Amino acid sequence: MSENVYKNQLPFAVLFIVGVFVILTYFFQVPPEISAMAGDLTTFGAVIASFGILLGTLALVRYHVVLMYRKKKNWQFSILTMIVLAATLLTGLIGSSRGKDFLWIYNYLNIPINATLYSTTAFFITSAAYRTFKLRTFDSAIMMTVAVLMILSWMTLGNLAFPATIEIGDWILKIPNSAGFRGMTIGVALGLLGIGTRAILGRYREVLTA
Amino acid sequence: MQSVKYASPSKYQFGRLGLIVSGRIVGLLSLVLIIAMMLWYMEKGKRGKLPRLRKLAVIDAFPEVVGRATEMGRPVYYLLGEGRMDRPMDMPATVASFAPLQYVAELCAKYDAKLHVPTELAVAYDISYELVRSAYLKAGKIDKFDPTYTVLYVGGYGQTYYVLNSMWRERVAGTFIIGSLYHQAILFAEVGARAGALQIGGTDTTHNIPFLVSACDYGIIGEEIYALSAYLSKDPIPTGQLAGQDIGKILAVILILGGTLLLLAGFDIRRLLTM
Repeated sequence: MSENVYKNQLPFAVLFIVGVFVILTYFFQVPPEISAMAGDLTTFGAVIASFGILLGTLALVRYHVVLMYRKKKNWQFSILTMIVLAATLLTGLIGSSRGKDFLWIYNYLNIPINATLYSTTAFFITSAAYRTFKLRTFDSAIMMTVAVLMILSWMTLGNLAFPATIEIGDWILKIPNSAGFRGMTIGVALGLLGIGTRAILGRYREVLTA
Repeated sequence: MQSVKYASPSKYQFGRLGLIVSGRIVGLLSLVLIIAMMLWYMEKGKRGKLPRLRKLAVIDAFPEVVGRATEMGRPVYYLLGEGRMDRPMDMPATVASFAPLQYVAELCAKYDAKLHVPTELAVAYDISYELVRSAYLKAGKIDKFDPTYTVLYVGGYGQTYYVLNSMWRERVAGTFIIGSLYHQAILFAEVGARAGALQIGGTDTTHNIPFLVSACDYGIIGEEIYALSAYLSKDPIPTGQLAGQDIGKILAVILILGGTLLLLAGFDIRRLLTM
């Protein structure tokens, strides 16, 4: 089998068959078994992507081994990364991913680290708002006015001082915000449709080919 | 042989056409029409009749960002966000961001700018690695492609911490934040802005668009992310896709305006649209 067949033609053939099958089962009456099969096929996407974890782990190991071997800057941290990687992997393999030790790593290391990252977002938003909300142009003036009204509408103190902002804030959210949001959603949906159509029909070759 | 059990009619309502699931007839007709228009424009484009594209200011900014990085001797970052390809709502934006990545890699190879693409998920890493490497190969500058730096895999949330720290430490000169981005949108864009980078940002996750538009110098708003491929390549296939999408937009506007007028006139068309 030539390289082009198994690297390009075969994947596009699979993509076409699966894509058309899933679309047909969405729109047309089919027996529940067929419908369930379409559901399974969409789940396969996540399963196939999971194989990437192995690939990613190999890439990570290769990267840090090269750093350690060449003694590049901060190579000592690569040793730490490898130790943590091996310890987590072994804990999961020996005691299962539902085991006490693995869950301890997840609950007391992974979750706090993620929570720390999420919580910093508020500071970044404030900093960005401070820099952005300047009355330089007419557009930015509109943006700033709306932002101030919305802040007053959502703050308890703002509600007390300016009760009218509650209704104004509600109106902004329900009418202009919804209109803009829906317009954008229609555009994004059409874009998704375009990319999907090209991928299924094998016309997205500038990227999805080897 | 096991007999096939069909769902009971009460559970699985049949539409007026019998074969089509109830409530999806208008959707199916719209889908067929839009796809047909896309294919028609693609074929038309292949015959040399390309539809005229409205100028998108951000396209001219791509070489500007890379050129600035070359002049300053500082790196360009291309950030895909999470780069997820295992969830239907995230995959299209990730796939759409590969075309601009290829273009940016070609520009970086051409102008000798230092490119860095840290990725969070392995599948996106693999595709990005191949795209960037082939761009450097095409430019005859494979020696500038550093396998331990240019495209890097940093799994999980570590990627965000790594990117924030690295952008600041290296004083990034230009950033492209294009893909399916969530809370990372504001983190990356804000750190890039503080580091003095010229930034281009775009995502289709609607609630994060305002952050990128505010913090970046050039914004790619919503669906424009799917149009980038057409603008960058001038190829008849993506251009045809774009023209087909426009027909969909016209259809949406007609339905919205017509529906509003008919409802105001007392005709209840909701049953018609949901048959």
